[in-house]
Amino acid sequence: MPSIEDLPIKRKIIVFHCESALKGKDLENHKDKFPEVGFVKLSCTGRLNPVVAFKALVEGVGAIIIYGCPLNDCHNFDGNMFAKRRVFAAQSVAEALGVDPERLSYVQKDPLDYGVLTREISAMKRKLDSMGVEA
Amino acid sequence: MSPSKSYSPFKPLNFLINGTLGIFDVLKAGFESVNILNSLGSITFLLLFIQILTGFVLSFFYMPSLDQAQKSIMYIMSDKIPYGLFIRTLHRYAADAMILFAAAHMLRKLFAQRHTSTRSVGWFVGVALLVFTVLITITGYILPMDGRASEILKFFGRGQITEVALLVIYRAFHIGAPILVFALLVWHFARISRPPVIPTFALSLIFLGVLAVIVGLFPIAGKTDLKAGKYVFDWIGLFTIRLGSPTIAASAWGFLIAVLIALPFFGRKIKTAAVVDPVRCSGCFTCITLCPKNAITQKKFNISRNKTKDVAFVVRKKCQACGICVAGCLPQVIDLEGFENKVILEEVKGLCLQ
Repeated sequence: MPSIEDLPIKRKIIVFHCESALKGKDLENHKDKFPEVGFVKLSCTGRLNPVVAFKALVEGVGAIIIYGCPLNDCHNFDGNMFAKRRVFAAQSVAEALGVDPERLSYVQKDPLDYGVLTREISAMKRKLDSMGVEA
Repeated sequence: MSPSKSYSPFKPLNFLINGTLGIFDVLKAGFESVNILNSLGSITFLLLFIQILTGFVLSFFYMPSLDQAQKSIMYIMSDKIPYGLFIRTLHRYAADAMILFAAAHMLRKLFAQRHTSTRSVGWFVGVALLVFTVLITITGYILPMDGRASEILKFFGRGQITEVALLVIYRAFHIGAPILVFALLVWHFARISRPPVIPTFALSLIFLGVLAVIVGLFPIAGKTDLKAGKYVFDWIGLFTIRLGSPTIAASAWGFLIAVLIALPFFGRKIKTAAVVDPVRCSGCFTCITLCPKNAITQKKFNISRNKTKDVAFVVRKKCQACGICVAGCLPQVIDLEGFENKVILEEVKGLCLQ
């Protein structure tokens, strides 16, 4: 059985986003701009089970971005705080398993800061380039 | 720990230097690091504090009686009170700035869609706060009992008012209403966890500096301001009066409030909730500690004819459908309608296969 370190990595990025942080025209623009990136809508980033993120990593996804609202601007009171904690725990577990923890990233931005997700996706692509991942 | 981070006798000084140097950080980074548009609400709160402090000082010298009011205001603006003119001008301009910043804060939250579903309570309270702010500002313009005050009173259909009426306006609307505003503010803040109530130190310094310069350069003119017809810039606080007739003003305000209250009802989501599978629930009640709305309670569930166990139960009315409990549930027995575990897993698998 191959270990998790030796699993093949595809040039694929998945964005788990909160439905109130990324929606409407903004979401459509991002989908048009990055056709190779998968967008998964959640009711809140606090809804994300890290097991699902690990499942995606095991399936060979290159990088995972969790995109939510700022810490003091959550629609659901504390969802993004739980998400932050869970992503932090998932990163330490990934490190222990031998997976690069930077493949999981957590971004908190205001819905009117349009450029942030674009920048993060480009940074992740550069990260995959430096890892030597090819399409 | 490096030795430089240990105790320093100049710690307050360090704080001040770091804080003032933070100004350059803000200027350099511009809208990148500290987004001033995110601090509009907290600047409004800072202005409320300025109003309370300056109003506290002014209330020592102001006399709420028909013949003494104007004289006492003149006394405040004379040289006998140090910085009297500055404090009164600050009190006037900060009120105008408060209305402007409150409106900007509302527009910002509206464009970011922060007024819908679970955040609508804060929006409704915010509308009430805007109305109160404008009301308090208008009563503030009546207090000096000058030409402008009689114009405002004529607008409300009262040529002359009694001594008691002035006292009521002063005590109830200019001192009592701000206390009510504080009560409403608690409600306004309570719906967000860790609300950014106070702006950053550097931003407060910049803002207060700009305000002080404006107040110092354009103080309220002494005697001319109190005569009818020669008013300084006042249309922000008194735009209701400047609209013309009371019917126009009343209909405009009614229309504005109706629109603002109706806005959260557009684009409302279908009400969904989390559902617990009582058969598989282990009864650890992690979800009860996680739920921010206290929507989960304990309930008895019959395993067999004479055997029961305690399971978690979601109160559908209280549930805001965020899914925090779904991700936190250890045996994975809670599911959220519309965002089911299976559906999300299938979606991720489908994306991986592409």
